[in-house]
Amino acid sequence: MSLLRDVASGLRSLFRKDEADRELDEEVGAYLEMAVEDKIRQGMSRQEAVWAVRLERGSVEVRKEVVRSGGWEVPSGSFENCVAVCEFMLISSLTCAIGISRGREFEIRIIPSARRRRPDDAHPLPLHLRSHGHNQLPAVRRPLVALDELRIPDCGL
Amino acid sequence: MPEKQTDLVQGTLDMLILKTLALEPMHGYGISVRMEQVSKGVFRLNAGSLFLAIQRLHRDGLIEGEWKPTENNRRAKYYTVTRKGRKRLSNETREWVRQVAAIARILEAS
Repeated sequence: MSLLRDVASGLRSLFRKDEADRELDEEVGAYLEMAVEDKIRQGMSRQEAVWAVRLERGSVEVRKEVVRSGGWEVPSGSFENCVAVCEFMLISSLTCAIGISRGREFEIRIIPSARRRRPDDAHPLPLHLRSHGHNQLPAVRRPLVALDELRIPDCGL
Repeated sequence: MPEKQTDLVQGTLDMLILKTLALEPMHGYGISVRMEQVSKGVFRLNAGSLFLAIQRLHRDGLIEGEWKPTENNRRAKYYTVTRKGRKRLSNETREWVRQVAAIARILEAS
C-alpha cells in the first residue's frame, strides 16, 4: 500500500504543483512571520527580529527547497514532464504485458529517492563558478522515475 | 536559562511531532514552539526539518491538515493526528521506551 500511496502522492504533486507550491509558500511564510512576531514581542525591532529568525530558522527559500525536494519534482517544462510520464507508463505497461503473457513472475520497482537531491545539488555548477556568468550548462533531460530496476527476471529485459 | 541545544536522535522527529499533535491540533510554528518549550530549549527545530517531517507524516496518512485562522487572524494550516497516526505513535513510543531501557541497562552494567 505504501508504494501505491507514494505513486498517488507523487502524481498528485506533479499535476498540482502550482497549488502545492502556493500552499507551501503560504505555510512557511506564516511560520516565519509568527516567529518574527514572537521576537518583536520580546522587544526586538522588526529588522532585528527578521535577522534573528533567519539565523535561527534558516532562509526561507532554502527551507522551501528542502521541503520540495522531499517529494517528487517536475524535471523542467510541462511538455518534457508529459513525455517523461508517458515514457514511464508505456514501459511499465509493456513490461507488465510481456510478463503476464509469458506467465512469469515480475516486479516493478519505483525508486523516488533517485529523484531526491539536496538544494546544493540542484545547481549544475559548483558555488565558486556561479557568480561569474558560468551558470549555463546544456540542459540534461532527466527521467522522471529511475527505470533501471524496471525488469522482468529471466525475460532478457 | 535554556539548556544546551542538541540534535534530535535520528528517527525520533516524526514520533515527537505526532506526540505534540496528539495533545491538540497545531500549526507548524506551534509545533516548533511547543517542542522547544517542553524540551526546555534543548531541541530547536528549523523550518526545513519540520516541514519535511510534516510532509512525510501527511503523505503517510498519519496527520491531516486544515487551513484555519490563528489567534492573530493569520491563516495557518492546523494539523491533527489521524487514527492511524495515534496507532503509530503508540507503537513507536512503546518501542522507544524498550530501547531506552535496554541502552540504560548496558550503560549501567558494571
